[in-house]
Amino acid sequence: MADYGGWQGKVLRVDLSTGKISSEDTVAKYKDFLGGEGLAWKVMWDEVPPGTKAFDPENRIIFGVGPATGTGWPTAGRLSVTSLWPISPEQSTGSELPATGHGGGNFAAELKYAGWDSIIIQGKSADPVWLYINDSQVELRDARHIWGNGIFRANAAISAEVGPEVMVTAIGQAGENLVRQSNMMAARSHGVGGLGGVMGSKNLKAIGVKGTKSIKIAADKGDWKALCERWMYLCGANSGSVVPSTPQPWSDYYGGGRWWARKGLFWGAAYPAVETGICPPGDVNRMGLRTMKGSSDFSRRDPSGRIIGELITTRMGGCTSCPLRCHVLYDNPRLSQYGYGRYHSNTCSGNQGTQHFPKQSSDTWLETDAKQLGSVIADDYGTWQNYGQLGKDVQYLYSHHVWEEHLTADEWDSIPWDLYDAGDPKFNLFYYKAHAYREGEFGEDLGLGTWRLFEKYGLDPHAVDYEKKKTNWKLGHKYHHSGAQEGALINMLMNRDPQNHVHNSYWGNGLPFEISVAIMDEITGLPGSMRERNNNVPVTRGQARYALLSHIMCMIHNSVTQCDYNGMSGAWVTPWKDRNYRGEPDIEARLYSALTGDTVDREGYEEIGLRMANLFRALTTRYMDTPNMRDDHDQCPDYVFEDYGQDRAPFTPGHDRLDRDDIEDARDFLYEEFGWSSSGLATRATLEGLGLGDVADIMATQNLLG
Amino acid sequence: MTETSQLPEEGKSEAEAVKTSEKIQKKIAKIVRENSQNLGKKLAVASLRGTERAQYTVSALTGVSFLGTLLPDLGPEKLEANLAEMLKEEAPEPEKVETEPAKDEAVEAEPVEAVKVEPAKAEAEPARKIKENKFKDIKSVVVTATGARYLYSEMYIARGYAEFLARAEATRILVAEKVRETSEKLGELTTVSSLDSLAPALEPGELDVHLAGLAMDERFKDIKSLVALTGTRYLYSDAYITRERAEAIARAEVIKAGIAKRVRETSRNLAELTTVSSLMEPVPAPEPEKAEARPAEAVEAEPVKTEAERIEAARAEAEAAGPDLLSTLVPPLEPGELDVSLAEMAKDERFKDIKSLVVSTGAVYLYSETFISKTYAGLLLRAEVNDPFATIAETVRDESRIYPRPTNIYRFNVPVFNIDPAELLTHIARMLEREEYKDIKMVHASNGVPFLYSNLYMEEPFAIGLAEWEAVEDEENP
Repeated sequence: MADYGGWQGKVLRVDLSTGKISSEDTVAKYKDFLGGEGLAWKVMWDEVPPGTKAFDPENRIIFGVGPATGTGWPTAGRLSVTSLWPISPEQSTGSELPATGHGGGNFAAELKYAGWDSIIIQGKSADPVWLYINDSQVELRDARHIWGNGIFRANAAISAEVGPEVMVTAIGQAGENLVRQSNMMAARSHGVGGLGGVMGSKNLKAIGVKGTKSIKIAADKGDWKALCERWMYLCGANSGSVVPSTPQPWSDYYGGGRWWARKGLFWGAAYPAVETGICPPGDVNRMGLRTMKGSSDFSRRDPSGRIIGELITTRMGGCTSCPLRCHVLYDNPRLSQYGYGRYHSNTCSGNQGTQHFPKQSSDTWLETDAKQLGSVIADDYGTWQNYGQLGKDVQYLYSHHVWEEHLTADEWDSIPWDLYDAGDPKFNLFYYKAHAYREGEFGEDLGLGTWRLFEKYGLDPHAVDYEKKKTNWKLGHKYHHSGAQEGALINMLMNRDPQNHVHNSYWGNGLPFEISVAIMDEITGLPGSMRERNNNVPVTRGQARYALLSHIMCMIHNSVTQCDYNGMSGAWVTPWKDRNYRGEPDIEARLYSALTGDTVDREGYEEIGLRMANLFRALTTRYMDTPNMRDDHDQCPDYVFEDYGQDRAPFTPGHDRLDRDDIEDARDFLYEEFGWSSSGLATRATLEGLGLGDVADIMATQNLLG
Repeated sequence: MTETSQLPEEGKSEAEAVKTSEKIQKKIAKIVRENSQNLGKKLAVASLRGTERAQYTVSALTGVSFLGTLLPDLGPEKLEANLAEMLKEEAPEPEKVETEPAKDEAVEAEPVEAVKVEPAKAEAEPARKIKENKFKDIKSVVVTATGARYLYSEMYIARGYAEFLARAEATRILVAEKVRETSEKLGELTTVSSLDSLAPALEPGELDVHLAGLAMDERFKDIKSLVALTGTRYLYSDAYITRERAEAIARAEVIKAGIAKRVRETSRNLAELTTVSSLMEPVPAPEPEKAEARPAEAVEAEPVKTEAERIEAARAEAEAAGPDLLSTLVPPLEPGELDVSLAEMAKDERFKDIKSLVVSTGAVYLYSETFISKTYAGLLLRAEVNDPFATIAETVRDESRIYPRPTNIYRFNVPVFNIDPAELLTHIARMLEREEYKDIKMVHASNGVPFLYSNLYMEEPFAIGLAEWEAVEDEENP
């Protein structure tokens, strides 16, 4: 067997029912699927038959890392956690659909340093346990003394037990209480959405890892270092931005994106304050200053006009080996008045603890407090708001008097709606606890997920979506990372909101559209691969190929585990004018080849993504047991074909309204690009061409082959 | 008997011819040796370092052409023939080839066999011995620039020194040719740094030695040198360029270098434009205590935390790197000089990064596009002009045309636009009333955030859609 770099060679398997702990050969069994999400699809395919439910002991939950994790490959510090997705609808087979949550911090790298390429958890422990991994020493430890406590206390208790260097992923009370819409937190402040309840269903409170091993790099160390530095030279800021958001001397373009650093913008709570300043590309030592997310996540201004986020941000943090630092570490002493600590960190929607409120408080500090308090409480309880979808659901159910009509009078009166109406932070003290503990029907509802919520109250999804303007997409997942036909295709392919930053980042790279589309046409080899935002024209095959590339590269990122938040920065696009803003499209393939010694070119690397995407497709098809994926799975909500009462025709400027016939064409293009049938089923030829002939055999027996 | 390629002269026997050759060669050798001995004595007395060596030229050796004048009856052909004989190298010993196979055999066979070979080799030598060359000390060097040959005796002059003298001669001739040509035909000075290509075979520092020698050489007394304030060294021929003119040219170079230095430093360290008028103003010299504090080391010792500190450190570093050239000019810069220099710089490849922007008032601003993009320079210029209406309108037009996108009005709160945030809304309201800005329109996102766009490049529905994305929908897609 070839001796590869990157992989440690062993996957850990833990059967919580029997207590058996064993290992498997990573390369022999999973190499073709890289690791992370891809490895998990393989496990799910082999071991979790249709009919299994998310909370059944027979379900697996896979904590996936990949060959790149922890190797110094820039941004390769991510964790992909995969299982049956509790908030997705039950299919005719009885199963929910599979999906992956993603998290960061240092947990994933530590798992590699302990010598493991992933962890497969199955079964259910009789009593609450936590899994302790100390290099090759793996044991299940009693967690009854931690059970019932929040994630912060769990981290502290485990650290006290085995040492402060342990990296912990844990659930809070929400996961313990089998709240469907719950999460786990990796390294204390990095949320992994959607699967807290699965851990809870197995009585698994946490995983704590300590590792002291190294990871082999196949390439010459100097060459490896140079390649990693090459990527850092080529990349932009977080989320794929390759131009600064404000005019800067070094750039011909500006605006949008997350390259926020500028003169006069500070990490204001640092001592002394650190000015983000001008951070040109190529200045490696200032890369961590580019993305001042604190001022974006907490953008309200205090009475003096200063951005509150700037005042409270101590610094930017993030994940192992990521130079781009998108995690806000803040110090808000005002949180103490609510009984919580003043120091916390999170990013993006993890910092948005007010999405359920009907309006923002006019008191900007109060609104910020509410956001942060909500974030802190949610991160401790392990509740999850499905990227803001829950907030919209709450607003609708409240404003349309659904709860008022359905809850008992006592329960209705017990809810502090006055605080809710005012956007008062103290409402969050009640709200998240109710969510975590499933208190009352209100609390129960908060954890159901959108699809079950609509089912319970007989809501018309179309009505809700129409009012709330693009919320729920389908199957209980939130509209996210959309945009023209390609965004619709990307959303269609997934079982949860797509989390596809390959697409979202490319659209938001900040360059003039003319340049962006020219680059993308070169990447796809087809014209018209990208649309101007809110200016649609009839779909082209190029858009479908772009959607395919976005889908498979996102999956590769989640499998090799490189952060997908940076999209294809450095590969498709760079901030360098003297490169005409073109990246090196094969750089990720080169990194993979150098790391592992498994030499592939760009097409070969993409083929790995195609393989994983087709396995995921087959998996989803099997759980749905439908020969018509086109209509049953690859749906668009009605609102994408509407224009909110203005009734502007599709393909006119100023809106994103799509045309039904055109979307059918888009689906046809996409299926052709993937090599699927017109009903959206993978074909034998496609599967066999990707080394998935065994998958084709099984699909054939169930008449699910295209 | 010494082998000779000469035919016996008519009427003379071969033996007589050989005897005559020997006499000639002895005579040549005597001349060469005497010259070499004389030079050797002088060199032994003088300190053999640096420019002191330069006082001696290759003429201290014996030129072949000079020999011809001393031996006029000989004629060039006979002279060359005799010299060829004298300078012929001895043939290598052929026995060495035969020895090698024996050594190989010795590896495989008994060592004693190799030993047996050696006595045979010793016996062969006397039979093949060649008559000793009495003139083997006589050597020659060639001055590459002219092809002239010179002879010397190795008994008195080291080969290395003879070659050095030849290189010195060649270098002086080539340098003088170039400098004279440049002075005569172009009216320009020649930088010493540009002379490296003339004599690539020189050792490091050797050019300076030859230039010092050239300065002392009467043949090249028209070649003069000049050191400018920049430290650049120039040569020129005063047969074509007067000293005054040379100083004027050098001054012009200093001015151009000084302009470029100021513009580049201002662009890099301050991200600002440089007004042409400011170039007329002297830059104060750094305070002595700052210079003594060695700011470059201070930057390394104490990590810079703020942009202001970084700029100050860069400024200190620049000051430590050298004086402001324009400020050290004597007399100070004249307006006419500035205009001429700027015009010349615009055509000079060395300054292609220096760009100029002109406003309607005629004021000229400079920047280095190595450090400031064209777009940013344009924004700085608008800020300099300080017309908020124009700044807003032109920026909106640019963004509508280039990206395209409408402009969030709060973008103008960034300092580069030089608009007081407290006055922004007032400026926008008044600007929108102006006829010359009638293409600028306002739209609002659903959360009330105002955007501006130019209908020269964008239609309202498109502007509204993009405004909605930027102000509302983008936040929903973290």
